[in-house]
Amino acid sequence: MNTTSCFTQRFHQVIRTASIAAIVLATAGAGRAQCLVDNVTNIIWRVDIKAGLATQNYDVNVFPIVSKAKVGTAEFLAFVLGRAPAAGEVLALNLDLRAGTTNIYLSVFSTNTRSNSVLISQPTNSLTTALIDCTNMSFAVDAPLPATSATWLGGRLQLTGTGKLGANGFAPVKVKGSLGGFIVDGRPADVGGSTAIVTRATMKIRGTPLRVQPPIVP
Amino acid sequence: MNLHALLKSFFSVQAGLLVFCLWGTTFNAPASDTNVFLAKSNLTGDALSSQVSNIKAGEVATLLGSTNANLVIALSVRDFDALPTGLRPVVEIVLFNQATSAIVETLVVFDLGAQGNVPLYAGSRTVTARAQGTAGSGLVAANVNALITFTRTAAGPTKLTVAPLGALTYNDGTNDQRIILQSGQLKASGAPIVVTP
Repeated sequence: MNTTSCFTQRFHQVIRTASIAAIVLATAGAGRAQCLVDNVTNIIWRVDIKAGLATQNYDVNVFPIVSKAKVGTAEFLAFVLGRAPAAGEVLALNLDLRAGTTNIYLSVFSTNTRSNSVLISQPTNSLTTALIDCTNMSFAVDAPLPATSATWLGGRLQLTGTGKLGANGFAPVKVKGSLGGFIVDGRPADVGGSTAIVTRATMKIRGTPLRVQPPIVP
Repeated sequence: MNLHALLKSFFSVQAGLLVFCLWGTTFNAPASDTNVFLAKSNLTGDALSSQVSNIKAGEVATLLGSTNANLVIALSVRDFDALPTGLRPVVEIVLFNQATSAIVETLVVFDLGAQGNVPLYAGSRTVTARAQGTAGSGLVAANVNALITFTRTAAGPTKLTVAPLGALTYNDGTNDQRIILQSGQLKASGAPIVVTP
């Protein structure tokens, strides 16, 4: 990357509702080279999460207590799908950073069909803030999670993270971050269904991209 | 009618009956004093100046307006005294003037009773919650979610931590600027300072 492009910054703030998209793009340094964010379409990375969950329970004296559990990627996928994940179903982080639109969302990706089978968070109703220059990115996403099955009643997650921009500044790589919020397991309470708050969670991409595909159109 | 609709209908009726029962009743809301805790911070995040850069705890406070020694980032909690049945406890990140013992600006407001926020009660003393924050008077916008824990006694709240994740927008006098909080927490330090509402 040349020196001048390092000083070219973009600031994307995308505020979305179901029908409204507002974009702020700021570039410092007139005449400086643009980094190649425009060329990014939709990069889908496999992502692993580790989460701590807390739920409200009661002891034998009906005294309120907080129960805690640790959840990994497979358990989280099972929550979302309402079943154990099938071979080829992985948790994915989608990053669509074209100028003019910024979508960062979680999905269940099928390596068999090479496509998303479930959108865990919806790009159209998430609130995304991303700080991007030609080297680094930082993002925060307030993501309401829709119910997608009888047992997965959604919730709301805040995704924050950082990444590098590889390939001459146009591809987000080495993304890692944190999750916060709550999720709702819609199973009956006596078999573990509950609203759980995410006390602490980390996410980190791994491997090579699952897919680099054309961006979705909000 | 499916189960969900039936439950929704049931709770709507219950809420309606509650409103009806309270209608015409005169009572004083037992709102508590506002307790302000000075806070130890290890918040870190990112900001965009000439480039995306990591910011440390002290810098977060400075960027949010803590420009002189008397102004510090602090935590306030109010309406905590009727948990878990009555009031909606509200936790705030504030800019506090130590010299005058006054809240100068409210930065982020976490209303634990607001729709979509999830408080868990451990016993009757400890509250663990996930709450969405809204911007107070000192910020342009806030898009944060925080893990909040606090303990209360008969005398008032004793322990309070707020671990926010997300984006804050403030105005530097000229332009709106953003901070993305990535990790860390604000932890109450010392005894609370009571600010009478």
